[in-house]
Amino acid sequence: MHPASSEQQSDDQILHRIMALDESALGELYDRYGSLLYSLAYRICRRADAAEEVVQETFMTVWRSAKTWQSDRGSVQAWLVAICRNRAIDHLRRQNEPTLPLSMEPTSDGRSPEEEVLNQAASQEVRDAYERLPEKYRAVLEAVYFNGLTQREAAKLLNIPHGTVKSRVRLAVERMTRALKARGFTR
Amino acid sequence: MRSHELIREQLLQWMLGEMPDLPASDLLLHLAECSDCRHYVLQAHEVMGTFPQALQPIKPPSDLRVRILQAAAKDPGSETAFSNPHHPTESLDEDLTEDATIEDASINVGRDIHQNFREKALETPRGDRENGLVLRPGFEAFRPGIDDRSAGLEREKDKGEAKESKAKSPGARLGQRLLQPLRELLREAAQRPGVAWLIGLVAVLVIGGNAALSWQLSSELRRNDMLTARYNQDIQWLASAERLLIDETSPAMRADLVPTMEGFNGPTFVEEAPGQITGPKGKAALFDAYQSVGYLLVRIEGLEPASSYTLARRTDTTYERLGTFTTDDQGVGSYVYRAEDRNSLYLPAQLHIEHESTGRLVAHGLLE
Repeated sequence: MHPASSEQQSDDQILHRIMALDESALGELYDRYGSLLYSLAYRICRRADAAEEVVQETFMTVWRSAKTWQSDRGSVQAWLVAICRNRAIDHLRRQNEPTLPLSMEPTSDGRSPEEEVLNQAASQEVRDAYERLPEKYRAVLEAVYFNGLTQREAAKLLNIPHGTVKSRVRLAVERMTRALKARGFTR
Repeated sequence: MRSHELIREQLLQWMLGEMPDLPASDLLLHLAECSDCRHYVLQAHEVMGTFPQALQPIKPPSDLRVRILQAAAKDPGSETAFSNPHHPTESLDEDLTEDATIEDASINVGRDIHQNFREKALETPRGDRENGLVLRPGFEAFRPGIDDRSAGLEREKDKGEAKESKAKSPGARLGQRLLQPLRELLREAAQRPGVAWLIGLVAVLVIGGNAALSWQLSSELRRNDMLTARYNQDIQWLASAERLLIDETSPAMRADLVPTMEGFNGPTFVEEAPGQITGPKGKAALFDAYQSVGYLLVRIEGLEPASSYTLARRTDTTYERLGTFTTDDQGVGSYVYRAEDRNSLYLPAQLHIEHESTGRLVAHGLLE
C-alpha cells in the first residue's frame, strides 16, 4: 500500500483503463506492481517458474475481472496482493518439486526515478514496521503469510498452541496496522 | 455473543486462506451486525497488502511483461469473458482455477448436492470435520473444480490410450475367444429357425435391458455433471474470502428472531425474573450473491437440543417452508437458504421457526 496520496488515484485510473481493455494500462500496472508480486510469489513458491506463472495468472485475473474491483472496498495493491498470494499458495500446495536458483538482485522495475524513490521509501517504512514487530509475532507471520502454512501447521512448526498462533497473527496484524497508520498508510 | 477478538482471529484465519473454525454463517451474521469488525476486515486487508513490501524486491524475468501483454491481447477480457470472476456463468471450465482459494464444502445448506460433497470433503485428510468445512486445498484435499478437471483430463487421456491399445490388449484377445462360441451358435441358428427365434428373443431382451441401463446411466451422469457444475459455481462464490468478507458483509435485509409472545400457540418465552425473558432468539440476514441468487442465513439459540425445526416465511397471503434444520446439543441451530430468485425474498415478511414434529411456532421475526 502506498501512502494515501494521488498515487492511489493513479491506480484507480489504471484500473479504469483496464476495464476498457486498454492493454497498455495493464503494462503500466505491471510496471508498478510486477516486482512486488513477483517477490511475494517467489517467496511463497520458492521457484522461479512457478512465481512467473503466478504473476501471469494474477495479471490475467485483473485483466478479466477489473470491472469487479471497487475502490471503496480496498486498494488496488491489497487486491493484487490477495490474488497473488492465493495463487501462489495454490501452486505451492499443488506442486512439490525442487526449487530453482534465482538471482535476488533488487530492481527498479521500470519505474521513473521519482516513483522509485517514493516506492523505496514506502517499502522502507513497511520493512521498519515489520522489523520492529516482536520476534514471536514475526515468526507466525513468516510461517502463515509468507510460507503459506495453515495455522495448525505453523503451531506445529513453532511448537506453540494453535490458539497462540491465532492470537499472535491478530496481534501482529493489529501492531502493523497501528504502525502503518502512524506513518500515514491509511485509506 | 462471542468476543470481537475471537471473531477477528477467525476472520483473519479466513482471509489468510483457511476455513475458520466457527461456521461461516456465524461469522457472516456477526459481520452483518458489527460495523467495527467490518472496518477491521477492510483495514486488515489493506495492511496485509503491504506485507510483500517488507521483502527484498526481486527482478522478474524481462520477458514476463511481454508474455502477460501477449496473453491479454489474446484474451477477450472482462467484457466478454464473464461479469463476475467469482461466479462465471459461461466460462466455468476456464475459470475453475480462479479464486478457488478456500473450499467451503458446505455451510449447512439444506440441499442433497451439498450433503454429498460435504461427505466427500469429510473423507479428506484436511477436512475440518467439526464444521463440515474444508480447509485451504492441500496436497490431497478435495478440490472441487481443479481436481475434477484434472481427473477429467486424465480420463480423456486414458480414453485415447485405451483406444490405441485396444486391438492388441490381452483383454481384447480374451474377448475374441469368448465371442467365438457365440459366432458358432449364430451360424447354427441360421440353419435352424427355432433356435434362431429363441436367440433373437434373448438378444432383444439383453439389448433392450442394456439400452435402458445405458440411458439411465447417461442421464445420471448428465445430472451429476450439471450438479457438479452448479456446485462448482457455488463454491467459486463461497470460496472467495474477499468476496465474503469484503463484498458481502452488508445484508440486504435482516431480522431479529425472538420468542413468540402471543398467538395460537401461546408464549414460548420464560420470564425468569421481572423483565428478564429467556427463550429462543437469533438473527437472520439476507445476502445478495450473484445474478438472481441470494442466501438467507439464520442462526438461533435457546431451542430444544437435538431437535428439528422448520424455517418458514409468511406474508399476508403466502406461507412458504424454506427448509428444516437440526439443533446441536446446546440447542443452537443454523440454516442457510439458497434462493434462486432472491427478488421473491425482498418483500418484508415474517420468518417463523417452528418445531418440526409439533408445528409449534417458537420464534419469529420481521425480515426487512
